[in-house]
Order: sequence, then C-alpha cells, then structure tokens
Amino acid sequence: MSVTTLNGNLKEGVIIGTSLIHMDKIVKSFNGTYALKGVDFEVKPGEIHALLGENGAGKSTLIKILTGAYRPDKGKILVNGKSHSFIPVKELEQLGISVVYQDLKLAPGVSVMENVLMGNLPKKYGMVDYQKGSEMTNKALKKAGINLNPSTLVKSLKIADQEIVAIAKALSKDANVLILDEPTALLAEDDVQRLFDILRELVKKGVSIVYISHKIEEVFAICNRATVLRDGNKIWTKNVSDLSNDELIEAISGKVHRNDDVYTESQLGDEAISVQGLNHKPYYSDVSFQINKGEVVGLFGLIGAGKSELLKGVFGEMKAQSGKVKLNGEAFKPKSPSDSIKRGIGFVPEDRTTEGYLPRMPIHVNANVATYRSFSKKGFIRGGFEREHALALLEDFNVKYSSLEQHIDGLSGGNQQKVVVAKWIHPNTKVLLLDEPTAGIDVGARRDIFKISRKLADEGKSVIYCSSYLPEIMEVADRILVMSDGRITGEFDRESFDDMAIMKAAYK
Amino acid sequence: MEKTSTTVGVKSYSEKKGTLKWNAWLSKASLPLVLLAMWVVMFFLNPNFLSVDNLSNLGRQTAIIGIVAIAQTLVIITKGIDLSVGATLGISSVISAQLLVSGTSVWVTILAIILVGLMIGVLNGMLVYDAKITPFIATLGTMTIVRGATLLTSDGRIISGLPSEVTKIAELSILGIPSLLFILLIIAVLGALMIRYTVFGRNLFSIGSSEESARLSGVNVRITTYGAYGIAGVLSAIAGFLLTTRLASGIPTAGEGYELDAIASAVIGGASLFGAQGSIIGTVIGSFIMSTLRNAGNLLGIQPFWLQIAIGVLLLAVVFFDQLQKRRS
Repeated sequence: MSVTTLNGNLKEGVIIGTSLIHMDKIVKSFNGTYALKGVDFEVKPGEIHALLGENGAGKSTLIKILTGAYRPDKGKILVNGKSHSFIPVKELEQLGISVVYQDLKLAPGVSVMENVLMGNLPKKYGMVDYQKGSEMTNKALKKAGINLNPSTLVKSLKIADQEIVAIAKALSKDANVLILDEPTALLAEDDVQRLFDILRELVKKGVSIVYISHKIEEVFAICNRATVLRDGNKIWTKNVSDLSNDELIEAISGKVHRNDDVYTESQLGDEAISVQGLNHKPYYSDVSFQINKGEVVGLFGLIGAGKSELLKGVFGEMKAQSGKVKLNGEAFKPKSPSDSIKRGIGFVPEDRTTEGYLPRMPIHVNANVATYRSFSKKGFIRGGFEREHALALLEDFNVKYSSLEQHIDGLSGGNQQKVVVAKWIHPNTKVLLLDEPTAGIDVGARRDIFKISRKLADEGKSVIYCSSYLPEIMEVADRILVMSDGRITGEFDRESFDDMAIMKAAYK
Repeated sequence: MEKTSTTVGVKSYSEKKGTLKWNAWLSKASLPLVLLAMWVVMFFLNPNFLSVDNLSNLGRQTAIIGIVAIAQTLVIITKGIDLSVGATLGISSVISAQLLVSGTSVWVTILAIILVGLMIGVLNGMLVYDAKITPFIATLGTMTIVRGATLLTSDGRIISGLPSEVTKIAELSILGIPSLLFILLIIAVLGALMIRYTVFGRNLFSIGSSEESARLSGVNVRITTYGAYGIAGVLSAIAGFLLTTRLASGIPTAGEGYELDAIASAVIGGASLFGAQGSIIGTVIGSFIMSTLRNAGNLLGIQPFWLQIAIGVLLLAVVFFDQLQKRRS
C-alpha cells in the first residue's frame, strides 16, 4: 500500500492498528471561536460508537470534517491507514464513509429506487436501466434489512421506513463507516427497536457505525464505545460496559455553576397561570404546573422533550387535547393566538426569522406589531405614539440601530431578537412565554434578555423561560421545571438548583 | 480624547444619513420624474398632447385601469395576487347595464354591483385563507367562473340603450377634472390613507411580510385576507360601473387582460410580489405611465403592437433597476 503524505508530514501515514478512521488532534475555529480544540476520534471495525455532547459541543463540526464539509485548521485524518489533511468530498464514497442526516435528505416525490441510487442510476443507451436499478436497490434494501418495492414513492412510506431507505441509500455506496445523526429523533418506540435490530445486523456484516444521539438509554442499548465532547474538547472515550448513567450525564453536561450576576429576587404575588393535566399526544402528556406573578420559571429539557409544543399549547397555537388552564384564577381555554394575546399572554417563538419578526418591515413596525391594535383609536394607527413607544423600548433593550425606518433584517441577530421580545412589553401582557429566546445570539444580547426577564418579574409579571441550555436557565430562573419525553420530570427552587439532579431529570 | 471620537462618530453618521436621504429621495421621486419626462418629450413631439381634450381623455383612460390597479395593490401587499379583477369588472359592467336598462335607479345599481364585487372578493379570500389554495390558482378559478357567468347572463352580447343621465356621468367635470379621474383620485387618496394610517392597512403589510409572525403577534389573518380581496372586488366592480357609463354599454368581455395591466401598474409603482411593499400613489403613477405610453402611441401613430413591446420592456426595466438598487444597498 502506498502512503501519501498530503501535509508533508513525515511517517504519519502508517497504518495504525485496527482503526478504520482515526482523527488526530483536530482543531477547527470559526471567526476566532474554537469549535474543536484538538479532538481525537477513532472508529474501529464493527463497532457502534456513540458520539455524545450538548448542542455546540462540537459534534456537528467533527462530523462535517469527517465528511469533507469543513477543512480542519490543524490535525489529520487517517482513513484505512491513509493520512489526509482533510477529506475530499468527491472521494468520500471511495473512502467508504456515508452519512444519514436527521432530516434524512430524501426526495419524497420520487421512488425508493431513485432515492437509493440517486446520482448512480444505471443507464443503458442513455436511458435509465430500470431492471438493473431495481436489482441494485433490492440488494441495498436487503442489506438494510427491509423489503420494499423499489418503485414505491418515498413520501408514501412511514417515517421509520424512510429512515431505513436513507440507510439503504448510504449502504448502496458500499460504506463501511455509517454515520447516523439522531436516527431515532422521529421514530416511535417499536420502530426504534426495529432500527436497533437492523443496526446490529449491519455491524455483523462488518459495517462500523458512528451514532449521534441525545438519548442516554440508546447508548446503553446499542453502543459499544462512547466519546463525549464538551466545548470543543474531547472528555474521554470509554467502553459503554464500563460506564454508569451518572458518569455519562456528568461528562456531557460538565459542572454548571449558577451565575447570580443578573438575578434579583422579585416579590411573588398571586397565581398568574396554572395548568392541570394538559395533554397533547405524542408531544406532551399530563403536564401540571402553576406560576405566580413576579416569577421567572425556567422550562428545561433536551431538544424534542415537548417544551415548544407545551408553550404553543398554552398560547393556543397548538390546541391541547385535554386538560385545564387557569389565567388569574379563571378558567381559560387557549384557542387562538389572538385570543390569548387579548387575555395578556405573549409568546416569543423559537424561530425568529419565520415566526418572530416581520421581514422587510421597519423596526418601529416590528416593535409595535403585537400592540398596534390596542394603541389604535377607531381603527386608526397612532403613528407618533407608536414611534415614541418604539424608541422607549429600543432604549430599554439596548438595541443598536440607525433609524426607526430601518428594516429589521439589517440588524444583527441579537438586536432582532431584542425587538421580537420587546414587542410584548405592554401593560396588558401579564404572562410572557419565551421559547429558546437566546438561540444563536451573542452574549451581550443574551444578558439583555435575561435582564428584561428579571425586570418583567419585578413588575409583577410572569415569564416562562424555555431553553435546552442549562446554564442560562440557572442564571435567570426563580424555579426550574424539567421536561423529558413530554412529561414534567423535576422541579427545583433556586436554593436547590443542582446541575446533576436537573440533568438527571432531563435524561429521565 | 473621548470627545473627539464622539464627534467623528456623529459626523460620519450624519454624512451616511445624508447620502441615504438623497438616495431615498431619488428612488421615491424617480417614478414621477419618469412620468414628467414622458410628458415633456411628448409635448415636443406633438404639442397636442397637452391639449385639454387629450389630457381629459388620458385621465378617463387611466381612471378605470387605475382603480383596478389600486385593488390589485392591496392584494399584492398581502403577498397575494388577484387575477379575477378584470372578470369582476366585466360582470359588473354587464349587470349594471342590465339593471340600468331595466330602469333601476343609479344608486340601487351601484349598491348591487358593490355587493357582487364584495361577494366575489370574499369568495377569493375564503379560497385563499380557508381552503389554502394559492392566490394565483384561487383567483384564476374565480376569474374563469366569473367570466363564464358574465357571458352566460349576457348571452355574450353587448348591452346598449342605457339612459342618457347615466352616460352623462362619464362626461361630467368636477372642479375642471373629468369625473372618472376625480373618482380615481378620491379612491387613491382614501386608499393611501387607509394603508398608511389604519390598523387594517398595517395588517395588510404585516401578513404580507410574514403571515406566521403576524398571526403569532395577534393579527387577525382571516379578516385581513377577506378584507383585502373583498375591497379589491368592490373596487373592480366600481371600475366596471364606470366603464359602463363611459362606453354607454355593458360589455361582457370588458376588462379582459386588465388583471395583468393592473399587476404591471402596481409593480411599476413599486409593489413587490413578495409582499409587504407597495404604495397607492406609486400604483396610480404606474397606471399613468402605462396609459401615457398607449396615448402617445395613438397620437404619434405608432403601431400598437410596438407599444405592447414597449410596455413589456418598461416593466422589466423598472423591476430590474429596482433590484439593482436593492442589491447595492
């Protein structure tokens, strides 16, 4: 075997033991921020290797480097003993590496065959050779452990079968390393078991799997080894059989220290809103809690725990199937956003760009979008009043802008988000629901949003602050409710905030 | 030291603001300037262009398409489109002619056609909002249905023999302005005030910008959608009535192709099919630019086919320069 040293490195390209892939001291930074700070990662033949870590730990960056989407700043990658300074995308297939993304990336409108063989359809006289294509597809499907008609349209398959088609597509390229990104995110329980059976079969056939997941129990169910990343560092790689549940959770989340810089205790008042036995299957079930005036309650849980759906249920955007809600002690049936808003509930959705702001509209319009109806007189907008209101809000929220007429698209993400939160600041708003309000914004803007949350509490309002990032919830909340798999699995007062206990509840 | 840095900051800021203003002014004024330039050139080519006769003629020609274009603009602002405006104009023309010939009073006739326009418009709104049919297809459907119904009720024939007091309406002058133009101006002023200063007008822009964000901020998307298409229907129906008085007959094919002229006028006037952008004044000027081209073609004896090509080129040029400017900023 010839050894190429792409990087000019000497003697680095020797075959290392039994590893299929060996990523060595990988460093990657984006605009000066380090996403990976010298990470090692190794995949052996015939293993299922869990890659674990919170959002932003560096998992995606590592996988993107392994699949050629990014070039590492430093470090090298050995595939089958051959050293590379980066993975050339065009050779990915030859190297035997294949990925199945969480969203599958299938084309729903065409057949299973066209998906499995996408870009590789066999041709005869310039036309598709359907017979040969079917044979190839059947072979790939068989390898993935499923029996389907290759001419079925992908969109007519149930999601679990689509997942397996995506795996078959990956295998059709003779992959020996299969990377699965959150493969069970969309699957029901029995489909998960079926997927696991298929994965075990694949491993017997000599395929190695890199398994990315948030679900601890899956690691114990199916993985041989686990590597944990945190803040761009590799914490360790261990055999799953040597691991305990707590050890794993602690490695993933690290020690979280409560930051009290922003926190000021507010005077608690009467009950503002309470929820009893709220159900919306399969998103959440039997959820009960109550929140007082002057309280910021953190709703913590991993992605997919049902937090967003619960907030939307309270806001009337996704009607709950059963259960009771009380607002200021009175029964209240959330039926539509506009009705909930009239009753004093505000909602900042997770996705700022599609649900939060009004693109191509001036800042002052955005700052008033939740309130211009209540400011109006006899159907007429009060322009001057709105501008003053907007100016006061922008000042309060420390928004950096050049003029009120500027389109909101021109602001930075953090400033956009501040306007989206600010629009709810109005005497009528009694309860504010924030869904991942600091997603993708800078530290300064994050602090401003913390401060505003506390300020609202000081004014006797209630805030539900929903996030999958524990440190920020511990910083801002009076109380934390933990949600896991659609249920409330823990409740903690500020005095008893304990990162490990909260994390355990979240993984329950 | 701190002081210096502040002054420098302020200075550069105001400079930047100054150029911004100049650009904004230019882009705002460019459309009226184009129209003015067209008129000046026309005057030199044919002084008759600015004769009272020709100008009132131009005013009457513009009035009807202008009202339809205003209707279209309201819908375009919501990120919709209304292909049924021309057909609504047609059915209104036929119904009003039939009613007037049968001796119904003018006011009752106007009320009736307003109702017809409103019904067609709200139907469009329901198809778009409740049935979730894309506006293009929904209004293509109603356009075809309404046009068919018009031909059916009129047997495809022109209805004439209208009472003379009706046909006089179009010949009247109010304050020296041809009545039809006067009505266009009133509608334009009311429309401009509405989209700028009323909650409903703001709602149009909000849902045109992002229906999801608007709904989650408490905007009643249903009523706003019904309203936009409903008003568009009513305005188109009024335009149909005015056309009937102008031509002294009800014409079943009246308004064919108006939907496209209306869209062109709105777009030349600054509206964007991506929604949340558009102005009534711009649309009216856009209508004037289009009708000036046609009128000029007549006066100069240019083949109408060439005019058609010129209008197409103009539309593309306006949109292209608009895009260019946006890319720069």
